[in-house]
Amino acid sequence: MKRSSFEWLLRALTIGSWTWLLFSRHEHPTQSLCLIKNLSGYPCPACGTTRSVLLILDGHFWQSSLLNPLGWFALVGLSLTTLFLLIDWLMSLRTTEALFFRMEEVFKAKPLLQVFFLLCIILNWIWNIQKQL
Amino acid sequence: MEIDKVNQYLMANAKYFNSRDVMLIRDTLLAADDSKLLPLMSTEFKDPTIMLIISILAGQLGVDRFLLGEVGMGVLKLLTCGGLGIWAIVDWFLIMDKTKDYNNQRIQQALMR
Repeated sequence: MKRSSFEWLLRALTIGSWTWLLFSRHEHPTQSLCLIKNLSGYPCPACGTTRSVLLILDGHFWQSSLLNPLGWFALVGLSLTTLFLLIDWLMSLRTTEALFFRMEEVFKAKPLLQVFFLLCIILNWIWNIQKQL
Repeated sequence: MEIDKVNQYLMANAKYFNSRDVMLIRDTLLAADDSKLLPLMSTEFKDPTIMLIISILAGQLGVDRFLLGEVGMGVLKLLTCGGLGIWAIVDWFLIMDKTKDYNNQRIQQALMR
């Protein structure tokens, strides 16, 4: 069964994210990988997500939400994606891809949802800059 | 369509398409009738060079993918910090080709309208 490039990208992202999480948990890197932060000095909307996920894994739920609420979405999203990819791989299905594009269609069809998402990201970004993540 | 019109159109817009697609587009345009001229003229294309600049400047926020209509990929890129920065850099090299493919889709849609 020929896999699409999308599935390979998702696999690479998932494996990369888990590797990065494991690496961060054990090595505690001080240097950020974020291009925006390294170039401009200001955090991007997703800055602090790794630290936030690590705090969740350590049981510090409230501190994690204060650091960057995106950590919750990242952890749930990553776990679900891993689960779906594993099921797809074991049962030779393509549910992840189908589900992703279905969600994309729904998102595209709802302008209010897009505005709400954008607003949340911008507010979170402003908060990130305030916190100097 | 007349060959002169098609050649003129392609000369003005060739930079928006992959060179491998230009011949196919030319054949499709030659086979199309004149009623397709208006939808064709009103179709706007994304400039690959502009997209490259956007990708370099705001690729990590997924803006380049959003502009190409790949909202899901854009969200994924935004939330993963540009795929830990790696995806953002890979996209600097892919985005021009992707933009040209997107333009090709747009012209095919315009011709089918």
